[in-house]
Amino acid sequence: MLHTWESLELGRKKKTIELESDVVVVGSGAGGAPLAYELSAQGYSVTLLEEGGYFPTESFRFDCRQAVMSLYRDGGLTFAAGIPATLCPVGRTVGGTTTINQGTALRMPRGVLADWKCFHGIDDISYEELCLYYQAVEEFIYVSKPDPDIAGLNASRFLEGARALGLQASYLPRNAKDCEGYGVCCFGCPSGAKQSTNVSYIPEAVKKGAEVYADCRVEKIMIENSKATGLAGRFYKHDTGARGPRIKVHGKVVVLAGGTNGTPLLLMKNGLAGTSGQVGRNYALHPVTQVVPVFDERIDPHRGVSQSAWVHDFLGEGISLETTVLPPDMLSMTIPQASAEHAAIMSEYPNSGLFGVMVKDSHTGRILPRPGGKFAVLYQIGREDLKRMTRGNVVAAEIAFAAGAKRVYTMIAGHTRLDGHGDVKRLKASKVRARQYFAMSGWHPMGTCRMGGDPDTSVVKPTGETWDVDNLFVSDASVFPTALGVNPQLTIMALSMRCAGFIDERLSGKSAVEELMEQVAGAPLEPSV
Amino acid sequence: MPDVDTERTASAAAELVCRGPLEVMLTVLGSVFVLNLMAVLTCGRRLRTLPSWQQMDLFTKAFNSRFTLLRGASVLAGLPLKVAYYNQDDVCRALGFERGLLIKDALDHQVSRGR
Repeated sequence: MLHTWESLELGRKKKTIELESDVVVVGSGAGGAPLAYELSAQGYSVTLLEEGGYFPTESFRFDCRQAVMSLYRDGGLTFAAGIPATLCPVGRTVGGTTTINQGTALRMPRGVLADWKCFHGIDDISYEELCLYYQAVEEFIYVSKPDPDIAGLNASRFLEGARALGLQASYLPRNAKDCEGYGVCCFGCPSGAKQSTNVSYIPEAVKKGAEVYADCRVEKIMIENSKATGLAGRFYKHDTGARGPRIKVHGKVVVLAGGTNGTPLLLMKNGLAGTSGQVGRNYALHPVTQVVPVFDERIDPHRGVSQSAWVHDFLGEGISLETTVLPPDMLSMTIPQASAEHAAIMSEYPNSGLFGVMVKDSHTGRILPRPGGKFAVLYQIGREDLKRMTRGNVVAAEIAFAAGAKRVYTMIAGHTRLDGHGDVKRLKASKVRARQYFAMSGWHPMGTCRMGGDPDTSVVKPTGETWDVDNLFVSDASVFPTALGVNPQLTIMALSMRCAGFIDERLSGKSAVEELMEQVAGAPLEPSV
Repeated sequence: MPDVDTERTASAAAELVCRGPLEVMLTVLGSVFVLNLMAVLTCGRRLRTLPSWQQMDLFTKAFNSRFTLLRGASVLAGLPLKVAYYNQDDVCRALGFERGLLIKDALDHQVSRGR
């Protein structure tokens, strides 16, 4: 069952809620939900605790300001300190960040896994095996490319411009069924087309018997004899912060799926898994900036699939270019100009597009706890990453002009308005400094509890289990040893399913091979007479 | 475009900023302070007391300044106000984003799982 503050009448309860479960999970996003579903389907009792509130599909009403205040941690205003500051929004709701992401579902490049094998000791999984998990996830969440008629004019212009320059460009695979292109994926899909975990893995897990508790903040990892034995916390109403009763869930296996911010903070708060010294470090986030092209004809940048097309020629360099659509209030944030100039640009909103530039960061930051359950993320974009970001902006501007844009706005001081190829050349020739970027954003935090083959340099084993504490697993993007270079949700879900397999082995006491043999052992060896 | 309803916009902007971490609120307040300081030093008066054309001029000068602090202040101080203003129904309608119609359309196109 899915339990909320209202359904449990937590405002009136004082007594601690104490439960027992085979598996207890914190986090209902891409890391926690597939695992909860898999293990429930195997017949295990699963309890999943989620800090955010539950919002049904019909509550999503195209109001971005309201959505960021309800569905995002800290009103969407989580920043990484650095030059420039980087906005790092994360979800805090049933479904986690999958409820507020753009739905792009890409497999990690083969070279990334090779990198993990060579430099981080992840040698127990082949790319072919990983693809089996990818396939299962893709089928479950209806991954497909968008209908070009629905994808929107922003995507069409982008593809035209890219192809005119001889670049490889195509539509992006994403987790959506019967999408109508409302363009508000990041603010709650109003039709339920986007198969985020709140409409896919979570309800399916509940059907298989999982118990999901919303408005529940986990504060303690219970340990006995160096083994994880459960989670404890308290209910807090997601909107008012009203305190409810405490909760304790005893479990044979504990899974942390609170994300790249939540998981290391919980480990640090409990003083766990710190032997390697890597908890909270290696914070990557795929820094993003964008250009806003303005065309002569109407583009309607709020209509279309939220992130529908991309150029992948530069993936080897760690640069990805992806289109985005945004309603007026959110697009207004991407135009740094002030007052009258800003108003003039926004009056051309119906004729504007948005092309995003994302960099696979090689330089990483860290997250640190602060009193009162707060945290600080320190992140400074590296020199080489900055060069890639500027190069990406140059290419995005060139694509825009090739597509017929009359001018392009950027987030780079000294180059905020580009009126043609001359201005693009000037940008290309400039040595752009980090402080010239007004801001960046990072939508894919990764790496703060990295997995590896060496307990001295990693927090978790390749299975997802922490080196220091038995039966304590991590299943979210914090386990990535490096940035992926592509949107990570599919990989998080695939690894989550893989982690579920290891937990199944642990709980059943049997290896996967033994289980397989059991399935066929009952078949008769002699033909029947 | 609809005129700016200062009180309504400021209230919505403040609500958004207050949801964020303390340092965001302090940074926005700090940005407003920097702009006020610039107003006093260049015009002899606080930002709020200047006529709107002078306010806009000040913002534009700060934005185009070679000093990162001034550029940042002009962007940060305006950010929550931009979101608040462009979130309003009448403003969205003027830009072709018809919230009411979109909600109705989405309600008619609810998707369920199952092939």
